[in-house]
Amino acid sequence: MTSQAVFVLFNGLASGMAFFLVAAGLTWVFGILKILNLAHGAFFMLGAYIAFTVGGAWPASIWSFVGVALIAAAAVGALGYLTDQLVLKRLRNVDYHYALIATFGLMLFCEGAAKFIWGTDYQAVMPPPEIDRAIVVGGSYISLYTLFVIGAGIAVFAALEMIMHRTWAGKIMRAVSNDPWMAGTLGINVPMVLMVSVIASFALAGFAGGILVPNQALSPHVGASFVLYAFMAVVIGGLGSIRGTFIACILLGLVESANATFLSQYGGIAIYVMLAVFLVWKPTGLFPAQGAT
Amino acid sequence: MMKRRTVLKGIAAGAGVTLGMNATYLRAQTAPIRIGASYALSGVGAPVGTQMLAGTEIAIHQINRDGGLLGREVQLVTRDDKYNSAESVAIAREFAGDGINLMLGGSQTVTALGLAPLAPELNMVAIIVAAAGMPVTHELFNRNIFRTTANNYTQYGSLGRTLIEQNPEIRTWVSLAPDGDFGRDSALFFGRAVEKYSEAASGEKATVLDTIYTQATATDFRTQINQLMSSQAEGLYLGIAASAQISFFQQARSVGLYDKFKAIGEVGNSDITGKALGRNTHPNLWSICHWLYNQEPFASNPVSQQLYKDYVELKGDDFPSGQVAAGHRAAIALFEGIRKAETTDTDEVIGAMENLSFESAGGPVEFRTEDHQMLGLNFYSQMGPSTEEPYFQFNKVTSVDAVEMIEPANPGQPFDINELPQ
Amino acid sequence: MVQNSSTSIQGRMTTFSPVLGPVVLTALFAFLFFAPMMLNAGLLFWVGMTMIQAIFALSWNLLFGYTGLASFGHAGFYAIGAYFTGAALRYDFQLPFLVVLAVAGILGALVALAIGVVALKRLTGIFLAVLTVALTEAMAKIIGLSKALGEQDGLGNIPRPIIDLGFLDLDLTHSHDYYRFLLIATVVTVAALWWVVHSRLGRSFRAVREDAERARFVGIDVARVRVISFMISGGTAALAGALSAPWTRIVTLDQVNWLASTQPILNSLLGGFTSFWGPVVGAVAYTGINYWTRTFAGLSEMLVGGILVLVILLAPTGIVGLLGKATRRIRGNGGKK
Repeated sequence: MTSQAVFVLFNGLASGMAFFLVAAGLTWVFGILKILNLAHGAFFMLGAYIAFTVGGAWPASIWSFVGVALIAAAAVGALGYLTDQLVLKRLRNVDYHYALIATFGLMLFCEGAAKFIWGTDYQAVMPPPEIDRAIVVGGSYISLYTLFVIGAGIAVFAALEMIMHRTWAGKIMRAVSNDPWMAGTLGINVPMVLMVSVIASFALAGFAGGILVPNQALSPHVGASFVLYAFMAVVIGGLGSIRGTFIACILLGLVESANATFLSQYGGIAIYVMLAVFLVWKPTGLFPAQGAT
Repeated sequence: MMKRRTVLKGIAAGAGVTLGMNATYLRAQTAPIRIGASYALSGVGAPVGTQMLAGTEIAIHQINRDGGLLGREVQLVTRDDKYNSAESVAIAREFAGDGINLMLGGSQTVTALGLAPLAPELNMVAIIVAAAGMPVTHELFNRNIFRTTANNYTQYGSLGRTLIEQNPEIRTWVSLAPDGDFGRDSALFFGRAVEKYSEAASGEKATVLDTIYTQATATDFRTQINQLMSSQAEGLYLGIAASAQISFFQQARSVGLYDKFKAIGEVGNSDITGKALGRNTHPNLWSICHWLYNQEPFASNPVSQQLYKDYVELKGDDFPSGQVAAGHRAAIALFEGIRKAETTDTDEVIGAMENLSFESAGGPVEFRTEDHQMLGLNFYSQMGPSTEEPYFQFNKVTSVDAVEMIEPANPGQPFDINELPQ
Repeated sequence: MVQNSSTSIQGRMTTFSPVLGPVVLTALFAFLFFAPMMLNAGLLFWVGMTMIQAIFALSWNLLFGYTGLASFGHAGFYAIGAYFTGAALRYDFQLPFLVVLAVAGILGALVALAIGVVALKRLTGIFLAVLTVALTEAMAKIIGLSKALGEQDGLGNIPRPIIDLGFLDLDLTHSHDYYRFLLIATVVTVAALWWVVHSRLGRSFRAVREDAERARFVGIDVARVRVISFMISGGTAALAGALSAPWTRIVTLDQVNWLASTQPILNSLLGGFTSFWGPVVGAVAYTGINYWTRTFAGLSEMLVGGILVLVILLAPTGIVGLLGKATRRIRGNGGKK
């Protein structure tokens, strides 16, 4: 029983951190642009493909693996700049529901493009050799790679927290997020802040793609399995709150993991029930963002 | 009667030519024969669907090179069913509306279940290319449907038998399958066959543990992998297909599942898994095999040799997937039916196909008259990693005759394994 | 030619033309009624699906465009109707088909009522959106576990109904007959929705959307109005699903997920959510794009995606809005002369 509990805890954390890696960029852009980016999962997928193309199926070491993920982040960040200039920038002054349809279109476009570029064959990337094995903890088999994912999630969270709450840039971000008009009158270059946020959000999606690619077979639809959880985490977290999203991801991961172990015949249901109950109980999320509607 | 009709047709055609008249009749006799193909070319079914389409295209190319069918050119009209039943229904209707009454489809169970009940209404001959679900030749059976692949019971029973016969030293087996009709059934059939054939294989009945289930749409298998690792089993049936199967192997390999399980039989990914995993392929991985051009008995089969030659020429690739032969076989079945019927008329083609036998890349096959299920040898391949490109290789091919493993025909009635004599 | 068509649609949109609107609608109805004789079966199938999608999109837009609430789980209501009707026909519930349709609609409305009573007082905006997503996904999981509903494979082999009118039997087994029934059902449903949004109730929907505070101030029970709107919307979506089951003859889980829920949203926004007819125009345009790109196997996703993005960039008020703007410009120029 205790070994099972340890496994559920560990597995939940691992899933939660994987969700968070994807959700981090999503919540950032939601907090500042108030746009629910349906294409986020597609850009995550592009990051994974780019990592595969640059780094190959067998990363040489953990350092080159992280390096490749950073390259994927830069590449997807550049795509973010392009997307912002061509699409998102033009939608800033219209009803936010239009951004939904535009990002949905982008999602289809990216999936089609990935199929066109990389073909429909599945690919599999392996974890770097240092973390490509398991340890046994209390009778449960735990792979070092998933420990690495947990570490990566925590590291990204810590970095974002530092930026948002300890730096000058973070203060500007928060000012724009709370009240763009006021921030503008105070002399902040709001369009610039919005553009940087989009690029950062996309870069985070690309980084997540590079880090999580050994977790799953690579196909144009690889984003779909993470992105719905990421959406839920963003909402539970309180729309745009990185801290809230982080806690929400852990909660979702733990619920999913407990569901799979203790109620496997009803697999995957608990997470939605939890979300519905949570929304009715605390509709503004864990850390309600100021100015979020 | 058939003969008289043919003679009459010949006379009529001759008269038409000499008089230069009766243009519509003439056109019907010389216009191309149009065959519809509905495969999953996008979505999760795409990696399999595109290969099957390649096989069908080669069959069309071959028949036209040999002068066509009934003296007419054969044309292929291709549509993407997007791995979606509503889409496959729309495509079948579009074909019927365009006057196409011969089609290949149902590359997966979801699309086959939408297509099958429709064929009589549309007055079509529909070849189910690769869907193994039992309902197609049982409760959903109708005479317009022909299936050119083994059904679930035959396929996974034979896979179980192959695995226990090839690995008699493995005493304990377990299955991991998606929680759905197909997954549960295939795991059950596999396990029953392992039990049944274990005594003959090693003199002692093997133990088959309770099947472990996953969500049908799951992509994370760590919980199930942990259960597998803690079990007593050393042999595994893996009912998870497509990209999810590759995800399973990625997640399972790092925790040492390859060392624990001495043999794995998988649901039908075959080279799709091998290509993706390469050097990290499980060393004793058994699959459903439609075709392996360079292994016996395929290597010495003339149909197979020609298929390989044309594949390389047309597709510019030296390593065809086994699924190519499935699309090829389905098209040949239809061609031979038309050739035998000497017309493309739906009823006549159905009549001709009901006891048709023909040569495929895997040797002679035939349709069972009662339920239109194809019979022949079913093949199983063993693969493992390799040091050369493409870093995986097939080491062995075995076969089991469908006749030994199939249930009695019972069209119109649901299949229940517990009603079979053991 | 473009100008002509745009004027005619604009004519329908405004009160400007009490004559032209009915004429266009009658012509459209006549065309659709005789479509089985003119179109091939595949195209006819898509025309039927477009009518169903149009009802579905209208149901969503009643909630969003008129009451200001965005549901992202509308596929759930659609699925309630589709699975109920599919099961009723497949397992022969011994109910007249019209009763089956009515029960399907009522089921949808009741589920909407339950969600509304628990959640609508507090939930608007993105929270309602995500709550509906969660409930729909949970429902999909439950259907996926139900053997009677076909689990992952879907509920197939659904027979088409025969309607017993007492004095005669309407046999809808043949595609053309069911198609005509579907057309009439669509006309009735659209007319009913038109009546709703132009009634006093419809005005109170809009009052709530414009400014919930002010609506409350003038004595409108905002929560109640929202729940009623949600119920009508959910019931209509369920009806769309109910009509679809005998048309496709199979109902699958593809229709019960968040991607399926985005379909009515896309159609409404594409057509223009500020207009009653926008969702209908959007459904036609979306099906048109899909139908036109169907032969570009492998490229169709890129094309559909690219076209959606372009339409939103070039016509952020939807097709109807774009046409309206074009008409105004033409008229404005005409006025200056």
